[in-house]
Amino acid sequence: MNRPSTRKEKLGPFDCARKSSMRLRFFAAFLFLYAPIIVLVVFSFNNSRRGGNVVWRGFTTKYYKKALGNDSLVEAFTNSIAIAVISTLFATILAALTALVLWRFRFPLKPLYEGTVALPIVIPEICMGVSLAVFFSQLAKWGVTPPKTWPLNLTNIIIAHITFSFPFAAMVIRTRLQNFNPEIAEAARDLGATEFQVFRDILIPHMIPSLVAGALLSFTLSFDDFVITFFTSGPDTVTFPVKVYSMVRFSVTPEINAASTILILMTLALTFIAIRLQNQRSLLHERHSFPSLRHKGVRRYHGCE
Amino acid sequence: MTCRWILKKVNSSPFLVLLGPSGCGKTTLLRMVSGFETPTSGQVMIGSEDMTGTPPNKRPVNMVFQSYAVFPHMTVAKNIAYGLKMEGIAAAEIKTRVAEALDLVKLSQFASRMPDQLSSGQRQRVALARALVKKPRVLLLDEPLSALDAKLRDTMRLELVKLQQTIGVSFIMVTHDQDEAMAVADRIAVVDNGRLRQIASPEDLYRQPKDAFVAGFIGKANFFEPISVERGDLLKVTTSELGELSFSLDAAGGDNLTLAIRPEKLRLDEEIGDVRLIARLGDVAFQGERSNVELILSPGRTLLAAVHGDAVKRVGEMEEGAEISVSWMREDMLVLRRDEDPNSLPQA
Repeated sequence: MNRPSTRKEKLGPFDCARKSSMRLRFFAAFLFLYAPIIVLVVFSFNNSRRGGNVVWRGFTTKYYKKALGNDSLVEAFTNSIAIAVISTLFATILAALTALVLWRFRFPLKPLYEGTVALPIVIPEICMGVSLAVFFSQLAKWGVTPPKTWPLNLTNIIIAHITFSFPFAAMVIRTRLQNFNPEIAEAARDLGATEFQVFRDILIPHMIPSLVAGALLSFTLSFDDFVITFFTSGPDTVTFPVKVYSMVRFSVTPEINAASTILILMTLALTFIAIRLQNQRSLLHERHSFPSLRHKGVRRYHGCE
Repeated sequence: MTCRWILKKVNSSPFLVLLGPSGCGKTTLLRMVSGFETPTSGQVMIGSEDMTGTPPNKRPVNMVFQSYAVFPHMTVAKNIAYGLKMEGIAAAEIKTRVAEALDLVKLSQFASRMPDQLSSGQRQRVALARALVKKPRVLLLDEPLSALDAKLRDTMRLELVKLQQTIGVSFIMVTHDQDEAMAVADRIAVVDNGRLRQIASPEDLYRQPKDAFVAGFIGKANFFEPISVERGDLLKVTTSELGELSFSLDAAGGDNLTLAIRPEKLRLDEEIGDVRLIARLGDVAFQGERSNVELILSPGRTLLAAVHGDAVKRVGEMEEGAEISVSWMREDMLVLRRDEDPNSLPQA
């Protein structure tokens, strides 16, 4: 006998989105997390002399102009960009090589090596910062200092940034390599390719999405790093986060809000691109595929591997 | 993995199938021919050339991999052109040969598709075209049909045979599916535990299996273990169930023998044959044009019979457990050598 189904169905543990109390709490948590950032962005457009002033005095973009006109701020910004670009380049190459070694070869003490590579991810930043500061000051005592010309004067910071950002990139690249079907490389060999040609024609294209994602990740990490940079920067080598920090120590002006908003936008954009690339099967494939086929409803099959 | 033997010589036959249970070394053998594995001893000869130490990219053979291994970041046409590009062939010639290969596997209208816009059957044809466009001396196929669904598999079997006949390149295919092997092969090499058991045409393998393993692996067989084997004017084999039976002396060499009879040779309820038994009827599996009948000789000892025609109906009307007479012709029996090397017996 069928029971009448007028009774309300009991909500399961994963139906929480249907409970209004749960939705409210969910919303509150998000508000708690993001309200400060929203306030920061909103008040970067506030026509007031003090950034800490919570009274809305009208819309203006003058603090963006002021921030962009502040020479030392712009210099710090260009320093940060240069550091991020150069350290990303080195970190990505290093990460790709590390990932390839860990994926392709077996050698004695491999687990130890793997652990050591991943260590900068778990070591507290402050410890890394202090140890790098000690390291560079020791080098300076021996007379090994970076040249004074830009951007070589940023060498210390660049080295520091490479050390903490490359393990992240290596992890991303290695995950991608784990999905590689070795029969594809064998097929290329079978068709007449040498080991080097297999690497160039088959393995690199397979790695590209992860190379781009890894590079974007290390760029973001480098660009907004404060702790480690603070310990390794000198008076002539101020980066954007360090500069903002020193400005805040005097007073919070809407100029800082404006500069921070620019930083947030940049970081968001890069993270978004990195996530998108991670989810794609292949970057090259996106470029070559035919959008018209999808509109015609051609069924897309997914990998045979 | 050790592969204790290599086919000492695979006479050039157009479509050779290496057949054996999984883990028997047949894929290893294929990979030795393609150059991905090096034999610990012995040689790999292709034609009259010794290829033992030659890397895979320098061998005149090409392979279709089990996963097809189509390059996911290249279009169908670029996949097929890749091998020719590696040879350094001029662009114009590559173009015409790729077009020919696409035509051969009927994929011409898919030339600019990416592999993930193809079905698995189409992807396999890309793998075939990519290997064949290189004009190999031998095409190697590693379980090429195992990843396809049942219906597509049957079509592809026929297409493979037709393709082989069209282009005239020798195919060596690896499979563990005996139906598949029987359907496509000119010759089948039965491999077990790293050893070649028999190499013969599908018909000969079925009618004259060399030993008990081959008889059990190709088709089904009912075995009778002898109590004694005597050689006089005739070969006299005594079994507890059938008594003494005589065969000609050249039926099989050695004394380690066993007798077998194919299920379709068994007659039920018709006293035609000269070997007779009484059994009880077990399960009857109706298959349409025939029925597979289980016959219980004693608890735990059963025979399998395949009956056709009128017998299907007759057996279907009988009750399970009813007594039934079983008979067959003595000359239909197979006298088989059992394996003398206990290490190479199939694991129970």
